[in-house]
Amino acid sequence: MDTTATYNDTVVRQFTIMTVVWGIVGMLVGVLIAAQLMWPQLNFDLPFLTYSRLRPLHTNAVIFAFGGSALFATSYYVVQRTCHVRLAFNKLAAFTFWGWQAIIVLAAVTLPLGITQGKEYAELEWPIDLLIAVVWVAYAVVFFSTIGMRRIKHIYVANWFYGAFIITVAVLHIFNNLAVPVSLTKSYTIYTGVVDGMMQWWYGHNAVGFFLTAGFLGMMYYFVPKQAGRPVYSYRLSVVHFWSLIAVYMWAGPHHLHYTSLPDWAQTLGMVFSIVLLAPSWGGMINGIMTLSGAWHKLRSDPILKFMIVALSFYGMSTFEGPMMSIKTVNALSHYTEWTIGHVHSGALGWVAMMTIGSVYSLLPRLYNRDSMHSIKLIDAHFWTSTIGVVLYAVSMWVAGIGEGLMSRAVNADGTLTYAFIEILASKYPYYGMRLVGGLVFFSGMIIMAYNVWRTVSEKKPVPVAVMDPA
Amino acid sequence: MDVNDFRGLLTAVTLFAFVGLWIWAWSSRRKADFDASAALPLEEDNYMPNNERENI
Amino acid sequence: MRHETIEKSINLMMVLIVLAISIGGFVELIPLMLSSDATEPDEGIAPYSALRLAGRDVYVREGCYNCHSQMIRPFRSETERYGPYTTAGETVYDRPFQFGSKRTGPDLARVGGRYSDDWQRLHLIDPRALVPESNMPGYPWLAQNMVDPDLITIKLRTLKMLGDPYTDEQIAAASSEVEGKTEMDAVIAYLQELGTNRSARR
Repeated sequence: MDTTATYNDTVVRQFTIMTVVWGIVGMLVGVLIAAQLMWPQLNFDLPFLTYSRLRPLHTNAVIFAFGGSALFATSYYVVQRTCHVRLAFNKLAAFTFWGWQAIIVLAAVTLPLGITQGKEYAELEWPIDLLIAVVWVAYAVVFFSTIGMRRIKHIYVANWFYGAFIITVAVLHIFNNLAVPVSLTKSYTIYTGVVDGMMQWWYGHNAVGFFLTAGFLGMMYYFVPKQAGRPVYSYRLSVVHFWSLIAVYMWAGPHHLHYTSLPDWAQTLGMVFSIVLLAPSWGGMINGIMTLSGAWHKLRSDPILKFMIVALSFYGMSTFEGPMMSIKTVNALSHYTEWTIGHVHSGALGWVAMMTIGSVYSLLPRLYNRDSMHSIKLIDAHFWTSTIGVVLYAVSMWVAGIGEGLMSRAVNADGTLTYAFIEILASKYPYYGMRLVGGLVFFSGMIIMAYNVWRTVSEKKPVPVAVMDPA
Repeated sequence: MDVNDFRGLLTAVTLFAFVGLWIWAWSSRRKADFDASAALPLEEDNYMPNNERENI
Repeated sequence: MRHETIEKSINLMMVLIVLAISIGGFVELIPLMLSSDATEPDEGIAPYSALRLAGRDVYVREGCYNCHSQMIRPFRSETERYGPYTTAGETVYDRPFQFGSKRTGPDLARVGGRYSDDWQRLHLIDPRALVPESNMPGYPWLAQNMVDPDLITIKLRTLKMLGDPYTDEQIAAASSEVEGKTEMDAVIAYLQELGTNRSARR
């Protein structure tokens, strides 16, 4: 068979399976470190099992291994289907898969060993950073060349989001990681102090904005219409909110540095643009949810759509909460507390993970020549465990965080502080327990998913799918 | 040029770009193209999902 | 340029995306890099000595920043709890910066001198021996690991190349300063100096 006449679904299958695998690994580490915050002895006095080394492993595994594999898989699938062409460069595409997995394995080895740059979500040391840059350029070449070879006039909006995500992550990665090596495992960043802080949160916030938002909006713009069987609610809204979102997101980083020694003008810019960001974010949420208008009945029978709609609801909620938390007076209370952790997880579990899970359930049968997943009932069970897990997690961290913030600033009549630091920590232990339960419940859903996926992929051999002629 | 002139200019340019984007996206000339684009994810390869596709 | 060419030409679209995402970073980063407020040290602030630098690198390696900030915000509750608020000029030799994002443990910006060396040593080995309700893990291995005297010289040279004003004498004496010291000694030396060099103290 002419290889250009079929889609390259091999690389999509590989990334899709690894999405599930890394999701389980990343969340398992999350459950472990949540337990360690309650029972610190769980590091057994071993360096590589210690919270402060495992927390970066958890964030990197969930963001870059789980989220990253999901983005590679869906972007490669979507760009082929909406451009009516086979993915460009088979070997380069295969290289992005093996390269990305190598990076993940290197991260999983080096982070517990304490090999780190010490910047959040950019912990990996310079040799791995170089490998990331190479793989990312290969990714960009494959993705944009495929669009360049498309057999139809238009570029579907999902590809805009994927494209912006790929370009921006490259820019962020390169500038934030500029460093001079002192050895193979240690380097010093070229920025210092406040400038380093601004650079880091310009990177960090936009890792959220592009890796965890723009990329997943691309996923949403393909899989929600596909699963609902209806075109997106408003295509022109998607165009306006795309350009607004990518332009505004890049300004919002300083809200991670409110009331620090970052100059006020930068903090104010960050706050204003963070509030403005509510508009384009909700543009995406409304567009996604309204795609179901007139087909709401499908929510009763299709748990995959339920995943997607709840994901969009969490997206809307997190992107309301985020601007609110970036108002300086609110941030004065919320910053440095568990509230931030609650916010992050309502975004990461509620939006990113649930959109990914829904998309994987939608995608997998197509990749393995089946009509549907092995069990729809198990998808439904997964949906409820996920939803209950996120709610438990977010609520416990909100209560813990707001309580923590209020206790930190409480003063007695004579002006002295009411609570010592350790009293505040002690008050949080019950919520740490509730969070651990929430995490475990969410994690148990991933085990259900793993079983369902395994049954789905093991029953039939995948067959190549012919590239469809443009309509 | 004073830095404040630059700031004003940047604000004006981005405001015009934003308004221009709305006008462009909502102009009736774009409708046919947008409709064609929006239909792209619904074009089926040889795969039919569980709940059949509605006629659009 | 006609609008409709944008969505049909992927190259043009890539250029526009780069333009759209560049403005924010440009406006926020470049003026900051050129601002002396953000890059000049306060009076009394000097680069870390060899032993403290070694300790700081252990602090970064262990990921202490995941739970401890070094940024006292200008609120009465914070200055009451931790000491005078942190200034930009105090942080100019910090690679990477240590503002943190979460306080599972207390802020450490001015922890220097608050506790004795022995308290710090015992606390790092077994935190709950001193603070029963603490959830900090123990770091007993720090007392066994030795600081590498060869690497510290390369580190100082690299930092000097990056612009930190180390003298040739400091670099020459670096390896002997850390000779025979454990990582525990180094971390404690780092912690005990934190926030103590600011000239105007309360």
